[in-house]
Parts: sequence; C-alpha cells; structure tokens
Amino acid sequence: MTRYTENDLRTVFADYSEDGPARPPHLETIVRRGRRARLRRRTAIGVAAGAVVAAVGVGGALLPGLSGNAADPASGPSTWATISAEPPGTVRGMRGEALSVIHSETHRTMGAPVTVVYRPTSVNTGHSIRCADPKAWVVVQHVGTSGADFGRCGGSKDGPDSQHDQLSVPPGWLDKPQSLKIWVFPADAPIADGPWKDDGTPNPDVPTDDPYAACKKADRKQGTCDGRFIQDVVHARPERLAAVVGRQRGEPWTIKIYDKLAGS
Amino acid sequence: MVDGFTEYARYGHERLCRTAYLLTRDWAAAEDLVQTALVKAWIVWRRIEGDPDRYVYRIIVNTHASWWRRRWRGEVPTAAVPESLAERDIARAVTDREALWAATGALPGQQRAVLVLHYFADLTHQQVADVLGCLLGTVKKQLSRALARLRVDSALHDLGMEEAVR
Repeated sequence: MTRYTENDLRTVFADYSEDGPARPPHLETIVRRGRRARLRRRTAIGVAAGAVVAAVGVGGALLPGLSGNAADPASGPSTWATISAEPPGTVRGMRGEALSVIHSETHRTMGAPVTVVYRPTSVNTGHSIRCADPKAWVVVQHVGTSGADFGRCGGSKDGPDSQHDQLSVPPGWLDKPQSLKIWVFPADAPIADGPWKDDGTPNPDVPTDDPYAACKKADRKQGTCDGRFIQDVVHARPERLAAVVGRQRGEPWTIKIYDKLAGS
Repeated sequence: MVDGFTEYARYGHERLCRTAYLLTRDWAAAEDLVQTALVKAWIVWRRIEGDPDRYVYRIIVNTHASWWRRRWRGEVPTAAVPESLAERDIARAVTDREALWAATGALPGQQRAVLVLHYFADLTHQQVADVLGCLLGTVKKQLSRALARLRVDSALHDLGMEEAVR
C-alpha cells in the first residue's frame, strides 16, 4: 500500500524550494533585454524574407551536392554542404559547458523520416536543427524512447535545441550508437493552428481544452480539423501527415549533434 | 504598461523562481529561466497583462523542456534503503523526503511539470492544460501516470513522512 499522499508532494516541493532565488529580479536588465529583442524582431522581419529567398534561390546553384542522386532525389546526407540556416559549430550547454559538433548531416528530404545515427561521447549530448525555411515543421523522435519534439524549425538560439543530462539518458547511452528519427514537413503542410501562436501568446481561435471545437469538419479518428492535422497528432503520429504530404525534395535542413569532447 | 509589469515581476519573482527551480533543480538555471520568461512577457505585456501567469509559466516550462528532455529510465536514484515502519523517526522522514524528491526528479519532463504546476503553483487541471497548451484529458493522464509511477516505486512504499514529520 502506498504510504505517501498528495500533501507529501506539496510539502516536498515547498521545502526543497524554500531557499528562494539568490537575487531580486533585475528589472532594468529585463527591460533592456526586452527592448533589444523587440528591436531585433522588427529588424528581422524586414530582413528575413529576403534572406530566405536568397538562400533558397542560390543554394541549388552553389551547392551541387545538395541535388542528391537521380534514383532518390529526396535522399542523401551531404555532410560537406552548408546552408544559410546552419546551426553553430560550438554551443554552450545548459550548465555553460562547451559543446562541439560530433556529427552533422544536411538533407532535403521532406515528408518522410530521416534517421540520423551518431555515437555520443558523454551524457550531455544535444542537437540543433536549422532549416533554410525557418517556418518548416520538424518532429524529432528519440529512437528507443518515447520522447519526441515538435515545432517550427525556428531561428537561432545560443544553445542546442535539446540536450541530455545524467538523468535523461537511457541505460547504456555510451555503449552503442544512438539515433534520432527526423521528420521535416514544408511550412505549408496541412497542420492546423494550435492553441498557442508562434510567439507563445494564446490563440483565441483554438481553445486548449478542445482543439476540434472550432472545426467545421472534425475527424477525431484521423486527427484532422477541416482537413488539417491537429498539432498534437503530428507530434505523436507524424507518419499520418507524411502519408498525406508524401516524400518530396524540399529546401535543405541541417542537423548538428553536439557533445563534450574527450578531455574537455 | 511598465508599472503593471514591474509590479508583477517584483512580487511574482520569488514564486516563479521557486517553480522554475522545481523543474530545473538548479537555482542559477531557474533564475535564468525566469528572467528569459519575464523578458518575453515584457515584450507582449499588453496582450497578456490580464493573465500573465499562464504565459510566463508556459515560457518557463517550454524553455526548460527544450533544454532538458528528461525521459523515464525506470529507476529512481535514492540514497538509502527504507527501513521498517517500526523504526520510523525524524531522520527517517528526511530520508523519505529525499527519496520522494529524487523520484519526482526522475519523472519525464512533462509529468514533472504537471506535478509542479498542480501541487506547487496550485493551478487547477484546466489551468495546467492552458499553460501546457494541451487537452485537459492529457493533463489528467500525465498526472495519473506520474502519481502511479511514484506509488509503485519500491523506495516510496513505506513512506510515513506525514506522520513522522508532524
């Protein structure tokens, strides 16, 4: 019989966090960072469209390796290729540790899974994915676990998109190669709006308790709203969307796996 | 605008940091997370000032999740093997508390977030769903799974923390 109660949880949470933060909020810093971010955002809006067009427009001509092979035009890692939206070469991990690239692949496959295999060098393995089209959708499944990430390909960050630590890695992490299964879908893939906008603010058109509420035609079995897939469904079952989108050759995307190098 | 934000940040900072700490288990990371969330809140303050908690908690949880993809490994780190119920005492309660703390830390990220938001931030199930942007049923399922995992853990079977501490 279980001996703890919900009150035990409340007590533990309260006790372990009772020290509180070491410092009061740095309001000036917060506002300064906010102003800077707002300015960056306004500037980026003006520049981004042109940058993406330029990257896509010249990419094919300058990077013949990205054309893939004739038999399977959507396949083929091009480890030497570069794209404008490539993740950085080194990043800082969650605890400020230096992480270097241990594996990198560039693909143009969209609408079908790509499996990336790598051998971790520590439990602090992380990864980042960048796409020529930052509005592309990405699902990353951590093979061998139930973990998966989903969202827009996104813009630049200082650190990896996702990073492990001692507690998150499965047993035997360093004993064998590990893999990620990555699905990239075009920005215009039939994915329904979610309850939150890209900037994190609530989307009043999609209630969080029922993403089908505003649908004229909801197919809860297939997971679609007016013919577009519910985001939770894409997250959990990307193969359903893939069956509709189909394998295709799209704009390039790059994944980099980061880890601590031996001796660092 | 800034006055309302300043008041929110000043009075909510400790509560937000404690919540972030329960997710990160690192005070420096918790403070960084909260500062990041408050910067984003400042930018869109006009749109969220009616209910800033929902936005700020969401940023904290998502930012944390993007760094720490914790997944259940089927094991719970614990410093001590529980003794018999008859030998329960204050020292034992401390050990039990540590075991429960360690066990919650080993839960998958979303389950831990649900626990923290519900049992520490005192959000209702629906409010947790709003923060996480998921269905109410998903929250209930995650909560149920988290509690089930803690209950079945052998390190927690004989906890008598409440009785021993009080």
